[in-house]
Amino acid sequence: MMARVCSWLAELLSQTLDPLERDAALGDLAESGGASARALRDIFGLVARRQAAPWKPPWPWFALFAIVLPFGAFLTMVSRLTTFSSSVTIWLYAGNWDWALLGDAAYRHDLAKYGAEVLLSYLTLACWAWTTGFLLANLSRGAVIVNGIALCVVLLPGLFLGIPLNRGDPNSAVFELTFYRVMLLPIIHTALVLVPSVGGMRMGFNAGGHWGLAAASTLTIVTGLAAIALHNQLAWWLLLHIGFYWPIAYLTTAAIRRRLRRSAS
Amino acid sequence: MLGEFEYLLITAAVRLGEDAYGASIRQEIEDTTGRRCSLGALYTTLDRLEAKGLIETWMGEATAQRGGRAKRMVRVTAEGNRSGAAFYNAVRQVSRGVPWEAKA
Repeated sequence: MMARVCSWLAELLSQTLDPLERDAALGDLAESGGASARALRDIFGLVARRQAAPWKPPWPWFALFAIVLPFGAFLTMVSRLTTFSSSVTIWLYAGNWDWALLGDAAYRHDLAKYGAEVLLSYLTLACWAWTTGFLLANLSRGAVIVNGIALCVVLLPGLFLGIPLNRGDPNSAVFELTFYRVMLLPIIHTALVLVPSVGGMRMGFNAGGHWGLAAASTLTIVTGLAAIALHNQLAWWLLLHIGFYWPIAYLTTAAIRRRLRRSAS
Repeated sequence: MLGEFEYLLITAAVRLGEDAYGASIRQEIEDTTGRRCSLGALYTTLDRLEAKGLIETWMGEATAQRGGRAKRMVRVTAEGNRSGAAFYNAVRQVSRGVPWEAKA
């Protein structure tokens, strides 16, 4: 019974190893006695060494403390604020929709202006989440599973924190509706933060160091313009942007450097 | 300069020749030193030595005794042989005149 448990655990742990190494290691253990507590200890030791190896260079630690924690908290905060502000706009127009109002030029102008603002804020949030995931995977490489799970753990509370609503808020009528108070935040947080950041991680991991200049520049320009268009009235918000734009700056600089190196050689 | 465990591993692989692979090297080290050799230490050291160009490894044949799993075969390169010899000479030189020096 004990031997069977050890064998099952050793098989399970060995799944994290490279397939060839897994084959060789389990074969070596089978040859030298098979399932036992020692075999389990051996596999555990090998897996622990392999998992610890990517954490030797400083980059995964840097990614954990400079990306996962601040960006996770930042994305959660922006996601809640974006949901709050877009809820009011969506309620104002979708909740009081009347086709006849489209005949009014001023109404159409306002609809286009505020609709564009909502879309831009969603685009900015998704781009931030994507670049965060991309950079995290790019810096972490071998430690991407641990850092990816850590980012998801930091982001997950955003699903349940709710809208940042102050007492006596003039928009409180909007949030008396269950959809805006309870449902919209999880939808936005999942679609514009969790999914793009995981997508960015996948791409960052698969892309290795090869990130095209055109793609990096496009993303920088789109996100930059969207954010500036949205928040140009708040200086502190712009300052905050500069602080949180370094992943995009990093990607662009790296892409330019690679392009220059390629053209020089 | 090799580390102590690297030297043990290279020496075991040279002694085993064509039969040098994970389990046999491990057994050889345990038999000659009387110390336990963990699989983690063995495989990570094999990687390190291969990265330094001191050994070559490849996947060998699978046997029934191993549950149909392949062996990671090991061959010591010329550079590995030189490093092993250099380590041995260094130990011999530094051991001259000390009480535990082996008298041939």
